[in-house]
Parts: sequence; structure tokens; C-alpha cells
Amino acid sequence: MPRTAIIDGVRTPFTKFNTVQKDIKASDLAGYVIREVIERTGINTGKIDHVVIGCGGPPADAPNIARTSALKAGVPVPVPAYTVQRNCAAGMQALTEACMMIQLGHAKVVIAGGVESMSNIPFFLKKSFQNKLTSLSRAKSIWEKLKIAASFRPHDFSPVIGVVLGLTDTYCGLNMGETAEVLAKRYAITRVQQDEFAVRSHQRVTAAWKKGLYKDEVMTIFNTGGKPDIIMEDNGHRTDQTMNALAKLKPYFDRRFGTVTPGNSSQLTDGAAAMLLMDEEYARAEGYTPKAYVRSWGYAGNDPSTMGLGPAFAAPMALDRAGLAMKDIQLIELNEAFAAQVIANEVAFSSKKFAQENLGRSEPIGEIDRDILNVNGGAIALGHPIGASGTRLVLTLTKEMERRDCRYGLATLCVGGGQGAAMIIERQ
Amino acid sequence: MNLHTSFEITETGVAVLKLDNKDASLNLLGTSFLKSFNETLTEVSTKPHVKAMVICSAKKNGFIAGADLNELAKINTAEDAQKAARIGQMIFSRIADFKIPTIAAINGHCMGGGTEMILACDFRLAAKEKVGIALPEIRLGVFPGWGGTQRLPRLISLRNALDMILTGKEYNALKAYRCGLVDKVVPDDILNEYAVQFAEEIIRTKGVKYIAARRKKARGVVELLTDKNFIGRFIMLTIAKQQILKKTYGNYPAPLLAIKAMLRGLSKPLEDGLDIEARLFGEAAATIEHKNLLHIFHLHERPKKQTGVDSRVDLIKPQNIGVLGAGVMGGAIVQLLAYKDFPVRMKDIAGPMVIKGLKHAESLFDDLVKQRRLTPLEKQRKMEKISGTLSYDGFQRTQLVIEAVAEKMPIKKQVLKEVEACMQENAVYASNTSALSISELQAEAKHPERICGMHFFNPVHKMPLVEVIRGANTNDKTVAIIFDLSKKLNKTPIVVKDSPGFLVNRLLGVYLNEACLLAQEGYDFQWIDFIVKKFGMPMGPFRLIDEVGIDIVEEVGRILGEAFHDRLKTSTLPANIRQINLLGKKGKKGFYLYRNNRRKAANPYMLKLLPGSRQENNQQVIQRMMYLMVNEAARCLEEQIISTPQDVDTGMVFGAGFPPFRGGLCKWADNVGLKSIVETLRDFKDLFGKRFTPVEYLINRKTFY
Repeated sequence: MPRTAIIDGVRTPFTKFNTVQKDIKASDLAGYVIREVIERTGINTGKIDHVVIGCGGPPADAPNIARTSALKAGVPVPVPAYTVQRNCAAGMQALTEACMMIQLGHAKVVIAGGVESMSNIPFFLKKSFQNKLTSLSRAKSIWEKLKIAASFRPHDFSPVIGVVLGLTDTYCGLNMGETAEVLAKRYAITRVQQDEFAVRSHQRVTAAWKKGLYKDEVMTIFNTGGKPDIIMEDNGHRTDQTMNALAKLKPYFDRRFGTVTPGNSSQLTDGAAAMLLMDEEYARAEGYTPKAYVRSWGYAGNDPSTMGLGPAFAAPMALDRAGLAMKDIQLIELNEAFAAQVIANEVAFSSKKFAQENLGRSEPIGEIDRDILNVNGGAIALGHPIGASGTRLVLTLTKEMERRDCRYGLATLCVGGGQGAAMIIERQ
Repeated sequence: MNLHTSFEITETGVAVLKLDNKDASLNLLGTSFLKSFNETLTEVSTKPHVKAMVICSAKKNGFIAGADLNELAKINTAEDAQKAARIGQMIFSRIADFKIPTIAAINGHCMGGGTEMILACDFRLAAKEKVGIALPEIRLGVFPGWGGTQRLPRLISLRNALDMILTGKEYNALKAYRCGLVDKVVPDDILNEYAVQFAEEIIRTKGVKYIAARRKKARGVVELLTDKNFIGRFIMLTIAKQQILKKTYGNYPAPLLAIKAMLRGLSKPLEDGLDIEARLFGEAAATIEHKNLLHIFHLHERPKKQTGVDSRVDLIKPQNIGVLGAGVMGGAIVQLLAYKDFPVRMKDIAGPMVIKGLKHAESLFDDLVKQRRLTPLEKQRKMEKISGTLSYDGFQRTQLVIEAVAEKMPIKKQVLKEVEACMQENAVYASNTSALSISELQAEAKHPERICGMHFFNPVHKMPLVEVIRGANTNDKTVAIIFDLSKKLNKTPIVVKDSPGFLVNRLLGVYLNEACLLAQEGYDFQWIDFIVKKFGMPMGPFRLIDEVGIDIVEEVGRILGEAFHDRLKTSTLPANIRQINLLGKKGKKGFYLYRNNRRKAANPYMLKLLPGSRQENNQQVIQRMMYLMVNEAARCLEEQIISTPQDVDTGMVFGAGFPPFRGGLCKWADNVGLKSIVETLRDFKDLFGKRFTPVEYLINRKTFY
């Protein structure tokens, strides 16, 4: 079966909710990265076979955001595009879709990526308000209209915040932070452990920017519609993050017994990422030098109330499909939804009991070596624009594997609603 | 059935008359076409049972393109012109006199005589997307002579008619509907089918509904005062006349004659009005201004048939275009490209520059939105064509790079070297420069043959001229590609051989230099500006220096001075002013003071520096500046910098605003008489110096053309 080659990729700066990119539409963010990938790789747009974009909450004015943003980016009209949704793994799902199309021989060249503008996720009207409004518009006599108009109460007008809605799992009733609390308690992960991990993330992102490691994967946004008009860097990381400062924060999701704070959780963020993927043989014939190849992937379901353990379910699947073991992996990007959740995975990966009870394996999956984990930081400092993160992990992984000359790398995330996603990248 | 027009009669009694000029791709109203049309009208009128007539076009690309200009050009006397007007009027009056209702189904452009034809019909339908209706005669130095000045004000009110006739601007379907010029706007694809249905409706109802609607549109207070009232009309037309005189200094006779035709004709029955119109049309058509403006029209159309080179070359169509430099020029060029839907990549070395370029482009698009020439959505789509960058990423996929960096040769060379490293083998490179040598730029290039100059004039979106500069090593393909691109951008290109100042700046250079010398001789510079404006230039020389920028004028002056030091006496004025840091309009201070981009008053400092108050020898002052340009143009032709006098006139009219009614510099010189110009130059040589020595080319020829 044809192998998928990663030619190049790029992302926008990841910027905090309601800051510099708040007035840029999600479809524009995605459009920018698609256009930039085209410009950087110099691909003839006529050769593109498909565009796939992952998005957690596609905007109401562009439900198929992939198509809207592809056209904005100058992808020719005959090139089809579709949007995929797998919550936090939407951006990885987009890459997977591309791989499958290439393996099936349905495509040679695919642009895949992910986007989320959490600043632009709308507020909703309460159902009670909606009901009254509908009956008002249907009312015939003036008397009837007045009667309905008089029935509105102040609480009908309070908005329902879309972001909060999206980050709460309807099935188990917990929001994402609460699922992290479940893990923290189950695996006895302390506040200090979590805060230490968060500080590490901020330090690593800061160091990476200082060394210019992110420069290559982050494009400059020229925003004529607002201030500042030039956006070049991520803004979520705090260069002077200390344990003391983090210790002052109150637990947010369980105020009495909790340990998960906004400081050791990922941030709400706006951002997009895209990559150019090709059939390996085609890439060579066209004179491209692939940066890496997709070796395998895996998606698994797990209990929604401990959704953070997703990687521990998905990674072994991808490893098995690749015929590899954890010890073969030289670099790992594990999405930092919550520090507690990352640490819980560290425990689960090396636990024989976890492997026996949940995976039907006699041996543990294998240690996660901190020295090769999220070496340039992660979502706690960079932020987690839901749909974009899956692509961002693979992009960051590929660039760092190139620098370190690694053979195998793993990108993996937990997925709200109880899933795990994992992808193995190789460079040979 | 005859040559250009045919008709069918439907079962319901609707005669559908189709216009299809077999001699041209468009429906041009030439003699043979009109004859054929007239005969068809006779045939239709003799058919029994015909209850309505629809006139439509069989051409996909428009309704009627107007009169045949070649025939118009052949008319020399007022009597012949009057006769020609009478013939057209007579045919169109036949439509108006039809007892049955007549309906025009306008499917696209409807110009000049075409508009006058539809005015003679009882009802007009317009296709929604493609229709453009105009009476552009005024731009050719005449006015509508086939009933336009009489029927239009009677239909859509005097106020609206004045707007159409005096500006020549095009009305789209919606605008035409709003003012009552058309009765209904119809989706393009069903126009002709619907026209028959519409005719059937009119047969049934007599169209009372539409006539009432039309009346309602032309019934405001102003209309009440002007359309039925001689005094109101007199006042409105007098105001219009004064405005025109103020703007044109009386240099254009046609609008004044059009106003006269309306003033006299509208108080009389239509028949008498048409008589007056035909007579005045004859007067307008016999003027030299008309001939000159016709010449300008041909200059404007000329590039359409040209490629810019003698050999046949295969053009590449650029898919992606790179622009280097995001300054005022870069931003404006990018906007122009994006407006024409080319994907553009704009690079500059600093983020703030890129954003400035993007914002400049956006502001130009915003202006178009304000003028309703673009919808906000279209603007967005066009802005998305542009992407900014700080690196050369993306330049490897461009087929064409336009460079608009700072006007410094070392910078231009550096940038060229950098971009050549990543350009495609067959991509071409155009440098936007107003004075630097393209041949010198080519000297260190990897592929000198694919490099040429592309001189846009500032402001880019307004100035129609592009000088395509051919360097010593530029090949035909490169010139042809840039020539073709200029046309695609709706510009009027001329090919100019690389030499100091190219064409336009070289001519303007000697002109501005002479103006400065005059001021230094003690002539009042404000007065010079005034008489030059009266001559017909859009602004006087000192206003122009402020507009262009004193630094740039000085730079160009220096280059010209060095190149032509043996004969040119360079004025020290620009260099002196530059030393004291006056920049002109962009720095808010030059010869004049500016606020909010508007001229306020003469700069007191300049009045002190140039205290001269001479206001005499009006004619001689003009001649010194203009004849020097004529002499320099002759030298350019002698040196084969350009190949024809048409090139000179195109350059001067579309690039420097030389008065169109004078037909361009060479045309004007021909009208004055080269012999008398040479004599005057010889006199000037004795009086003012050797720069006035007439060149051989001028001495040896009777005329430029």
C-alpha cells in the first residue's frame, strides 16, 4: 500500500482566547495556513486532490469550514474539501483521512489540517427564550403578541456560552476539567506534581521560542482588520512562570477537594495548522523531499469520565500496527489537555495492571520517557485550539524529529467524550 | 429577411426583430446596417396582424456598440455631420411613430446610437447582469445626435439626462431602472423569451402600469421645476454650463453645445428639437477638438491589437505573481493585480511594511466599495488573493515577479539577485522604476533577457499608462508578457527603449526644468500654474512637482542633467528646495501648503524664495515649456526610444495628463505647424540658450503624423 509522505506544514501562532486573533474568523485562520502551505511548498494548486480540515466546533456560517477556507486560500474550485469532527483529535483525524485516501489510491496530494477559533464560538439563546420567540412570531392577534411578550423573564435572556457547552460531556455529565479531577484522584496525582509539569511546559515553550525552534513552523499573520496587525508568536506561554504563582490558583473544577487549576490545564486558544501530504512515490517523482512518513495510527474508545487516558488506549493500537514497541519511539508529543491527565498516562503506560485489565495484554505498554516527552512544551503553555491540536502535534513532532534525526515518533491525544488518538511518524 | 436584421412573428402577433451585424463581431450602427434596419422596419410595418414589436440582439456580447467610428471619422464638414444626424433621427423616429407598442430587449452593452434607438421604443427591458447603457459621445468631443438630447430628458428628467449626456458614464441595469430608463430588469438567460411575454402583456394592458411607474420616478421637486418650466430649466442648464466652464476653461465645446441643444429643443415640440440637435451636432462634429478626441480614442484602442513586439511569441499566462516591496507603489500594484483576480504574493523586509502595503490595497478596495463598484463580499474575495510574506517563500511558484522596492540601484540589484535564486527558469521579472536604467540592472543578472521595466504612474489606480521598458538585453517574450499583462490590468502600455527618464519623465523633465528656470527668471510661479492649467493640463508644473515629490523630481532631474549635460541647462531650484527638506504634497509642504491631501495656499517660504511677480508674455511662457517638449519628443523619435508619434501621444495623454482635446503632444504640434514651431525654437535659442536648438527630425518633417 502506498505510504503517505509529509512534505511540510505550518501553523498560525496559537494565541489565547479573546486576545490578538479574536476578530479573525476560523475560516480565515484555516485559509491562511492552507495558503501558506501552498506558498512554502510551491505546490501547483491544480495538483491538489483534496482538502480535509478538522474542527471541533465548525462556525455556523461555514459548517463545512474546509471548503470555505480552501476557496479563500486559492485552492481551485474543482478540488473538493470536507470537514471532520472528532473533538480534540479532529486535526489528527484530518491527517488520517488524507492517509486513507492516499492508500486507497484516491488521491496523490492532500492538504490536511485543523482549526479552532474558540474566541468565535458563539453564545446561544436559552431554549425557553427560543420557544417564546418562536411563538411570538407565530402569534396572530396583537393581544396574543402582547401576552407572549409579557411572558419574557430576565433569566430567559441570559446567554448560554458555547465554549462551556462544548467542553462538557453530555453523556457522563462531566466537563473536561472534572474528568481530569477523576484521574488525579484515582492515580493520587498531587497538586505539586501537576504544577511542576505545568511550569515545565511554560519553560520549554519559552526556551523553544528563544532558540527559534518554533519560528519555522509558525507563520506570520498580517491582520489588516485589527490591532495588533502583525502576529508572529504564540502568546500563551509565560516566560516567568513559577511554582509559587501557580500555587496561588484555586482548584476550578472541584473547589473543595480538587487539584486541577487553570494553571495546570491547557488554555482556550485560537489557531490553525495545515500540512501537505503526498503519495510517497508521487512526491519523489515530482522532486519533493519528504520530511517524514506516516507509519500507522490508531483510535480507541474509553470511559468518557476518564477520557484523559485516551492515549493509553490508542497508542498501543498504533504501535501494534507499526510492529513497534515503546522503546523504539524516540520522541513523543502527548497533548497536554491537563497536567493530571498527562501524568495519569505516564502511570498507565508503565502499569502492568492497566495493561491486563484494559488492553488484555500481559505486559505494560512501556515507559514514557520524560526526556523525550513534549520537549518543546505543550498545550498547557501553547494552548489547545481543539480542532487544530491534532495537526499541531504531528507538525511539531516532525520538525523536532528532523532536528534530532529520530527514526520513530509518536503523537497522541486524549479526546473529549472518551477516546484516544495516536499516530506514528517515521523518517526513513 | 435582409443582411443585418431579420424578424419573426409569433402566433400571438409579436414581431421579434433581431439585430445581427454581419460585418462585425458587435452591432455597430454603420450605414449598411442602418439601411438594413430601416428596410426591416418597413417590412414589419406592412405585415398585418402584428400587434407589438420587440427589438433584440442576436449577438451574445452586447446589444448595440454604437456608431461606426470609422464612418464618423470620414465626416469633415458640419453640413455632412448634420445630414448624418438627420438620417439616424429619421430612422429612429419611425420606431417612435409605430402605432403598435415597441419594446427593446437589451441584453448587454448599449452604447451611443444604441441608447438613442432604445429611447425611441415605447418600453425597455434590461438583462440584470450584463447591461451597461451609456451615451459616451461627449468623450469623443460630440454629443448624442440621433435624438438623445431630446428624448432622454423627456423620459428620465433633465437632471438625470444631464448626468448621462455630460459625463458619458455607464448605467448598469439597476441604475437604469431606478431612474426610469428601463421599465423592467430581467434575468439574463431568459431575456428574449420574457420579452415576448412582456409584449403580450403590453398588448393586453397597453402598459399603463409601467408608464405610471416611470412617471412616478421622474417626479420630484427638482423635476417639477425643470421639466415643465422654462425658467427652471434655464437656471439648471446655466449652472451646468458654468460648472463645465470652470472645469474645462472652455476648452471642450461639445458639452456646451449639448446644453444648448437641450435648452433650445426642450421648449419646442420634439420634431423641432431634433432639428436643433442635428444642426448643433454638425457644429460639434466639425470642431478640431472632436478630431483630436477621436484620435485619443484610437490611441486608447491601439494596444488591443498590439503585442509590443514584432516577432510572434507564445505568451505564458501568469498563474501566480510575486511583488517585491510593499510601499505605496507595491501596495497599489498588488491591489491592481488582485482586482483582476491574480493571486499575488507580496514580500517586504519588515512586517510593518507588509501591513502597510496590505492596508493600502485594502483602502483602495474600500474606495471601490464606497463607490458601489464592488460589493463588500467581492472586496473580501479580492483581498484574499493577496498574501504577505517576509521571506521568498512562494516566489518559486510565480511566473512573474514585479519589483517595486526603493529607487536605489544597489537595492534593486540586491533584491534581483536574491529572488533570481528562487525564481522559475521561465519566469519573467519586471522592475517598476521611474528613472533607473534597466540595462544596468540587467548587467549582473543571471538571466538578463527576462528582465524589463514596468513603469506604473502614481497613483497607479488612476493613471492609465504603463511604460514597458526594454533593456539592452531584454528579449521579445518578456516584453510581450509585460505588455499583455498591462492590457489585462486595463492599462494602456507603450514600449520604450531603456534610456534616461524613459519617455514621459524625460519630456516632463525638460518641461518642469523650464518651468523652474522661468520662476527663477522672475515669473510668478502661481501664475505659471494658472496659465498651464488654462492650456488644459490637469495641473500646473509646480503643483505637479509637489504631487510627484520634490525629492523624486530632483533625482530624475539629476539623472537627465547628467545624461544631457551638453545641451540642457539644469535649474538649481529643485536641489535648493530639497536641501531645506521640503518634500511636496507627501510632506505637506512644497510650493504650496497641504492639509488633508488638499492644497491650501502658496507656501509663504516659497513666495519669499521666488518673489518674482512677472505675469507677462503669456504665449511665450507656454511655448517655452511646450515646444521644448515637442523638440525632446522629436529627439526621442530620432533616437528610436519609441517608434511612433502615437507612442508619444499615448504617453503624454495617459501618463502626464496632456490635454486630450489637443490630441496629444505630437498631434497638437502638427495642428500648430512644425514649421512655425521650428522658427520659434530658433528665436528662443538666440534668446534663451542652446537647449532650444531644434532637432533635425523636426526640421526635416512637415508633420509628425
